[in-house]
Amino acid sequence: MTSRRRSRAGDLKETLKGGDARILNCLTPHGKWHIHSTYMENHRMLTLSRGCEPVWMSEVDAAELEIKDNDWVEVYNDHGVYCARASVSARIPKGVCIVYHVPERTVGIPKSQVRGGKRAGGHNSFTRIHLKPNYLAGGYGQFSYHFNYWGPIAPNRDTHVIVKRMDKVVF
Amino acid sequence: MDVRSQISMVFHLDKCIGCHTCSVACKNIWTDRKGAEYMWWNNVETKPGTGYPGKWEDQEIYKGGWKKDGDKIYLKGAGRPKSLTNIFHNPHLPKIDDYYEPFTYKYLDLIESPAGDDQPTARPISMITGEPMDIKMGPNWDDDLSGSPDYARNDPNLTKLSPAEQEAMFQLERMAFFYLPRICNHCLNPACVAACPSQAIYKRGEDGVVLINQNVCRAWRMCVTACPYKKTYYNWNTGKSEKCILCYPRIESGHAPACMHSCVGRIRYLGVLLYDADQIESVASSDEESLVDQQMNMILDPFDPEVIAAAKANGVADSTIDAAQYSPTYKFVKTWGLALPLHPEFRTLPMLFYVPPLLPVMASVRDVSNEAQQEKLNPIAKQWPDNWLYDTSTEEIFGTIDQARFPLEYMANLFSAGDTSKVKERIMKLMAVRIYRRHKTVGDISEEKSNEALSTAGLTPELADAIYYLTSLPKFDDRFVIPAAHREQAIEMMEFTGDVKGNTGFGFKDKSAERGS
Amino acid sequence: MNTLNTFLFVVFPYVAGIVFVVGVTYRYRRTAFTVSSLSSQFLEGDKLFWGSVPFHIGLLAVFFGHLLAFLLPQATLAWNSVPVRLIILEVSAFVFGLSLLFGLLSLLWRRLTNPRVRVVTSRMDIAIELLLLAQVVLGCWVALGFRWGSSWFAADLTPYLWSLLALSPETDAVFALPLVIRLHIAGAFLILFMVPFTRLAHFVVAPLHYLFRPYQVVIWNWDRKAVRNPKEPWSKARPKNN
Repeated sequence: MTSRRRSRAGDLKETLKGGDARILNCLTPHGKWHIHSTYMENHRMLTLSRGCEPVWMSEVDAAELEIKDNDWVEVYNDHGVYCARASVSARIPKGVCIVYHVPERTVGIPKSQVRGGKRAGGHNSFTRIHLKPNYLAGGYGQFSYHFNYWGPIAPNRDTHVIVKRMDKVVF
Repeated sequence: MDVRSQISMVFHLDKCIGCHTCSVACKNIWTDRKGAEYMWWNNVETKPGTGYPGKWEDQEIYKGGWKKDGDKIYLKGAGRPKSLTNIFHNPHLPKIDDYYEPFTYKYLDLIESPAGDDQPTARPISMITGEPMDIKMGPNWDDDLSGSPDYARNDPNLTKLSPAEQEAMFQLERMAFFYLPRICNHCLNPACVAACPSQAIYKRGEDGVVLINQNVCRAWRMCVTACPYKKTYYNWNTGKSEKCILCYPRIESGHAPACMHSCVGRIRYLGVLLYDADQIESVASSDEESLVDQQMNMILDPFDPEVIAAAKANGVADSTIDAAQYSPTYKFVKTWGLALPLHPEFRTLPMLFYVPPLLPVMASVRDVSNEAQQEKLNPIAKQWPDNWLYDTSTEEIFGTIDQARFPLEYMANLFSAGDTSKVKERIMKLMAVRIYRRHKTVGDISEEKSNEALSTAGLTPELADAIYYLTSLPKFDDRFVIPAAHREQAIEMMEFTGDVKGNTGFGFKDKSAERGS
Repeated sequence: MNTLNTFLFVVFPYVAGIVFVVGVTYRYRRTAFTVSSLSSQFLEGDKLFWGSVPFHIGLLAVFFGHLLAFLLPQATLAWNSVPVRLIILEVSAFVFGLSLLFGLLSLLWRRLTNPRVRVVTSRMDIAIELLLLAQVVLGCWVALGFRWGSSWFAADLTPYLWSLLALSPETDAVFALPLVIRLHIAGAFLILFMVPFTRLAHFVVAPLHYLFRPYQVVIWNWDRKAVRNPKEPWSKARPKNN
C-alpha cells in the first residue's frame, strides 16, 4: 500500500462512497483574505467571496459529477461534513478540492443531508486533528476555543473527502 | 488651443494583487447605503473573466459608448433621439441581476432562534426584499477564475482569438490571469454626459471630474446604458444615478482618493494631465487604428512654454501647471509611453490608463523532445506529454513576448483596440527595465545584453532607473501629485466672500450686503 | 347639490391650479432631489415594458387630444362635421384610451405582485395609480356612453374651461352634464391637485431641452480667468453656482 492509499483509507474507512460522488484530495489553505485572524465572516468580505466559503474544484471533476458552478455540494469523510457551494475553476487540478479556512457554520451553512439533517461544520470538521505536542507545551492549548471546536489547532490540513452534489438545501 | 487640466490615473497592473482593498475602502465611504449596496464604484475584475456587470465589455449586449459612422460618432444605445423614444422603457438598461442581487444574512436568528437540537445559522436574505434568497451572483463572482467554464471562457475579449489560443489559456499550470481594477475613467468625451436627457451629468472644468448632480437627475437611466464601462449606477431606492466621484472632497483637500490611498500593492498613481480640449471631437472620431496615438497626442507637454502660456490664459492655476510637470501619470503615459487606456475603441477618451502586466513570467513554449525537457529542467520537474518546453530563461531577450502565456492579442483587445504592436512596445519596455535591473542587482546578465535590451526598447539607463524608481520605490507624494484646489477660492464656490467682507459677526446668511439705493 | 357643484367646478379648479403651480415650483426649487421619475425598470424590466409603454403613449395621446379640443374648439368641430372624420377621431382616441387602461392595469398589477417593485412602492404610489385608474375608467365610460365626446367637449366644456381661465366661471353647461362626466371633470382637477405630492411631478421636468443642447457639458465652478485679472481690485466675478 502506498502512503497515499493509507491516508485515504484512514479518512474514509467508515464513509462509503455512494451515488454520484467522488473521492478528492482536500486541501485547506489560506485564502487571500484569510491571514490568520482576518477571517472573512463579515458582510463585506462575504459579499466579495460568493456569500460563503466555496469548495473549489476542477472543471474536470465537476463535469464528471455533473456539478455546475454554484451548485451546493457536501464534502465529507469519517470525521465530519462541510456543506457549501462549488466554485468550478480551471485553476484547480483534477482530483483536488480546496476549502479555504476558516468558514464559520454560523453564517449560511445548511444542514447536511448525508449526516441526518444536522448542521454541517466548517473545514475543521473533516480535517483530522493531529495533536502536536508543542502546541500543548507550557500552555493550555486544549482549552483554547476555535471556530466549531475546542482544542489546539489541527496542523494537518490535507485529507481525503467525498464530494457529492447536495440533494436538497435545508437551512 | 484650449488647454484644460484633467486629473488622471495610472494603474500599474503588474503590481495589483487582487486584494479588493480599494473596493472595500470605496464601499465603506460612499456606497454603504440602501439602493447603493450593489454598486461598486471601484471594483476589481479577474481577467480573463466576464466582470461586473456580466460581460460589460460586450457592447452588442449593452450598447454602450460611441460608434463611428462615416466621419462622425454617435452614441450607440442612447442620444438624440433614442434617449427620448426609449424613455418609458429603455431596452438596453442592465437589470440588477446583471450586477447581482445584494444580500446580507439574518444574523438575529443566531440570537433569537428557539432552542433546538441543532445550531442555528444566519440565512442569506436579499437586501432588496428582505426575503431568503439564493445567492447567484456577486460583485466579483469570477474572482481568481472561479467558475471559469461559465465566466472566464466567456470573456468578450477572447472572441478574436483562435480556439487553440483560447484553449491554451486554460491549460492547467500554464494558464495565467491578472486583475483589472476599475473605477470611472472620467473620460474626455464621456458618453454618460452626452446621453443624459436632464443635463444632470457634467464634467468639472477645473479638474475634469465627471459628476452627477443629484438634484437634476430624473432617473431617465440613459447614462447607465451609455457608459460603456458600466460605471454609472442606478440607485433603485432614491431614483437617481450615481457614480465614482474620484473622491473629489478628498482631492480638494489634498488627499488621495480612498481607493488609491488604501491600495496595498501601491499600483495607483494620480496626477494632472494638460490636454487640448479643441481636439476632443476630432480625436474621438478618428480611425480605430489611430485612436490611441491621437489620444496621446492631445495630451500636452506641460514644460512647453507655449502650452504653459495657453494654460495660464485659460485660467489654469500656476499650482496646477506645477502639478502637471511633476505628474506621475504624465511620465507613465507620455514620457515613458508605458500606459494605455482601457478599451479605447469605445471612443470616450478615458483618462484612466493601465500599464499592461508582464504575465506572470514571460515564457516561451517550444516543441522539443522529452530529452530536451529533461536536460533543461530539473529531473523531478513535471514532464508534459505534448513535449512542449515551457522556457522561462532570458537567453533570448524579447523572443518570449510573442509567445507569452497571455496572448498579445488578448492584451491588445483590452488596451489598444486590437493593435498588438502598441502593447508589445510597452511590454518590451517593461521587460527591458527588468533585464537592466537584473544586470544591476543580480549581475547574471551582461552589460552588453542589458544595453541591447534598453536600446531596442527605446530606453536609456537613466530612463530605466526613473521607471524603476517610480514603479518600485515611490513615496506617497510621488504617486499622488494632487494640484492645490485653492480652497481659499473654492470656498467662494459656496459663498461669495465679498458679500460678507466688512461685516461684523457672522454676516448675512441669505441676502448680500449690497449698498442700498 | 348646488353647493357641491359650485365647490367642485368653481372653487376646486382654482385651488387645484394654485396648488399645482405653487407646489411644483416649491418642490422643484426647494427639494429638487425628490423630483424623479423613480423608474423601477432596474428592478423589473420585462413586465414594465407592457405597462409603461402603452400607458405613457396612451396618456400622451389622450392628454393632447383633450388639449387640442381645449385650444382649437372651432377646428375640432369643423373636423367633426364630416361623420367619417368624426368616427376616425373618436375610434383612435378610444384605442389610445384602452391602451392607457391596459398599461395602467398592468403597471398596477406589476406594482402589487412583484416583490422587488413592492419595496419601492409608497402608499401614495398606489393611491395615485388608483386615482388614475378611476379617471381612465370614467373616461372610457364617457367616451362609450355619451357620444360624441370630442364634439360636445369642444362645444360645452371648452367655453367653461376658458371662462375659468378668464376668472369669470360660467358653470351652467357643466352643472347640466350627467354625473359620470362631472366626476371625470372633477377627477381631472383632483389629479392636477395631486401632482406636486406624487411621482407625477416628473412630467413637469420632461427633458425636451435635451434636443437643443450640445452633447458635452462642462461646468466651471469658478471663473479662474476673472480671478487672475490683476487690474481689478474688487472682484465682481461670482461663482456660477452661487
